[in-house]
Amino acid sequence: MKKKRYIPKKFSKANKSFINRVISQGDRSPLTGFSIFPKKVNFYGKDPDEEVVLIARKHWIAMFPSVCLSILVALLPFIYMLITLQMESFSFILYIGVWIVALTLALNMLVTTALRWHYTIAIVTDQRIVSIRMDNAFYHSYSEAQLEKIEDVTHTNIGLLSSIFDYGDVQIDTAGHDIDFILTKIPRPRELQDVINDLLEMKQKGEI
Amino acid sequence: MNKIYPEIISGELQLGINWVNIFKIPLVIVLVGVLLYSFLLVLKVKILVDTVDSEGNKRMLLLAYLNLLVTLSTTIIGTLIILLG
Repeated sequence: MKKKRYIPKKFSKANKSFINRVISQGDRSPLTGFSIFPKKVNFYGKDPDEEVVLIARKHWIAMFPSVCLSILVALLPFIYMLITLQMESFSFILYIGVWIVALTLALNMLVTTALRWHYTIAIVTDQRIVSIRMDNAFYHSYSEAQLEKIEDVTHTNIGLLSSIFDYGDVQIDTAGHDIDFILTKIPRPRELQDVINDLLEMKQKGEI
Repeated sequence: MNKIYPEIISGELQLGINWVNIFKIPLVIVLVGVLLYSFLLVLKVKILVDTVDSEGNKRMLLLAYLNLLVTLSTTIIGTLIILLG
């Protein structure tokens, strides 16, 4: 049995395609990469009457190369062993040390990948679009654009993998010379584009 | 002192570099570097938890702290093993 989806009051009477889709869909997972009207989402600078419409994280496949690299780093001691096994100076205790270094390094790479996935997030509200990006322990960025400043939304779906896993890039052009938003490897990019376009239309009509 | 000349002449004296010992230095540096990185990762997550509040935030903070704890333990154990090895 499907749980009834939460739809904020200001959107409940709007006849928009994304709201109809939300009603027809089932319950959402808390750690999904894409969620319309998510529960318990807040961000720095959110106004009290502001409603979070959508959150989108990168598709899990975008993290696949980093996971593979971590596994490769964890397996590096094997290569070291193969090289040094024939040498007289081969030390088994040192080999264990190399294993510890490789596993620690791989663990940190994996944790960074998980955190990067969780904290690289696009939040669409009824007033603005917020883009938070975290790359590693040294870098994160926070940028936002008011809905009124958005001029054009484009989504691109290039390559075999993007067709198989249904992900793509969404480019949001804003007025003036401000930074344009490029949300990369987002799941269901056409849906994100549809939500933003519907919100822009509602904003223009003064419904939100 | 007098014995060293016959050893040099006969080639028995080995004045080589121990590559294993030299190899230990970058390994310890990497371990300390990773420990510093995991500490910075905790600080970054604390900032991001304050910036965006969503489901799974507590899990991510816990993950960062666990990573720091594991890295701290492996750095201590790893450094001892490498230096003794």
